Parts: sequence; C-alpha cells; structure tokens
Amino acid sequence: MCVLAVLQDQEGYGYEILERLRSEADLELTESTIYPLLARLSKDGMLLIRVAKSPNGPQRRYYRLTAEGQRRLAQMIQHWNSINESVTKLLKGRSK
Amino acid sequence: MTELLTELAPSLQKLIDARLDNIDRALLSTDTSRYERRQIVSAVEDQIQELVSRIDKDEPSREDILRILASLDPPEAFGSGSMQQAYEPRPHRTVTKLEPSRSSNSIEPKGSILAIVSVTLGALSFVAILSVFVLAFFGFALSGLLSMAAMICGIVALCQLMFTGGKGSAKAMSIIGIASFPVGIILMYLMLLILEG
Repeated sequence: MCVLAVLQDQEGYGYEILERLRSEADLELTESTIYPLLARLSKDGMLLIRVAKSPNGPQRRYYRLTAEGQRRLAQMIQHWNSINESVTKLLKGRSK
Repeated sequence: MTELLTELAPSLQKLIDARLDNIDRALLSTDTSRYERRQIVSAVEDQIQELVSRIDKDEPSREDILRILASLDPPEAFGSGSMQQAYEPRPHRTVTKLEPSRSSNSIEPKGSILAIVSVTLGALSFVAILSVFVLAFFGFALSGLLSMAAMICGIVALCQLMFTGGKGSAKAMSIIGIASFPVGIILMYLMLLILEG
C-alpha cells in the first residue's frame, strides 16, 4: 500500500521511491523489500514501467500506477482505515 | 547487465556484475518468475548507477564501488521470500501456515552433522565395551577406537559450531561425544576389574 501510495500522484524511479518511503514515511525499508514488490506489482498490472535516461546519465526505471493500481490502492486505503478505526476504538476502550 | 556502465573500469564493472549475479542466484532459489528476477536485478543495477553518478569524481575508485555495494542489502536478503509474505493478502481469521524459509539462514550450521556423528560414535563405544564378553580384548580396542573417534569428531564439531553459531542441542551432542572418551576409559577400567575378579 505504501509503495502504491508513493506513486499515487506522480511517477517515480526505484531509488527515489525507496528514499521517499524513508524520508516521508520514516519506513526503514530496503531495496530487497521494495524492488521485488515493484516487480510483482508491475507483473500484476498495477504498475507501468518506463525506462528513460536521467539528467545525470544513468538510466532510470520509472514506475507509475495503472487504473488497476489506482483501484487496488483505493481498496487498500479503505481496508486500512477500517482496521485503523477498529484498533483505535479498542485502545481507547482499554485506556478508560 | 553490463552495457550500461561502460564508463567504469572493467575490474569495477566485474564487482558490480558479481553482485548482480549473486542477487539473481538468490532469487533463483525462490519462486520468483524470470520476469520479476529481471526487473529486480535491473532495479538494483539502476540504483548502483544512480549512486555511482552521485560520486563527485570523474573516475570512481574501487573503494567507492565497494562502499556503494556495502550500503546495499546482501544478495541473500533477496532470497528470503519476505516480499511474498508482505505483499500477498492473507485471509481473515485463519491461521496461515508459512512454508519453511529457503534462505541461507535455514541451512543447518556446519558442525551439526559432525556432532550427531560424535554422539553416535560415543554411544557405540559404550556398546562395544559390553562386547568384551564375546570379543575379549578386541572389544576394548574397538571401544577405545570408537570413543577416540567420537572425541575427535566432537572437538571438530564444537569448534565449527562456535564459529557458525550452531544450536545448543548440537553443542550438547558434541560435548557428550567428547566426554565419551574419558567415560569410556573409566568404564573399560571397571570392566577389567570385573573380568579379573
């Protein structure tokens, strides 16, 4: 869900996604987790890959969400919100 | 895998290729498809190129490349299957039985088999002591040889387990194997006393 969320508004390349997850979400994720996820998501048709040269020279593999990816992200967010709500309710009940 | 980093010296390129090959091999040990393996290895290669391009030098040195490679996850991390568990949705209210990990962590530490051999030889040496009633002094020789072999195997196993961080049970088996030699000597002495008596 986090990977899809990072790509919700704009495309991004692998290392950039990794850096954004670390800096924006404080998630200590590494390439051995993220790159297999990106490969699986693209295989499942949730991401599209575009290969282009970067201004610095090396090529970059840009990922962006497909319509299916957008749908899946919306489902995941809904599921996450319902879990979050339930757990928050439970914790509030316990703290009283 | 190699054509994109042509500006690097061949020896440095070799270092990167070796890392990428190791990642590919680690992925081969999992159920990862060919398409996914290609994507993953390419993504890692892109990251290495990205990091190389950020070095403020015309020619990156061997140390620079080694530093970049050291900052990445080890190849084995790609073969752990952690992504599979993280990505695939699990059904609610059911206990998911996870397949045993095929990572290098699940490999029996070096020395465990030798510890089993050691404890088995130790047990056989005790059985051999009883054979003195049938084989006379040949039984003592057999027992002595078996217990000595048990001790040697036990010492080697224990040394290996110290380095590889083996399980406590394997260490215990090695110690039993080592102890079988002095215990066997005492038992042989007692048996001699019984036979003389």
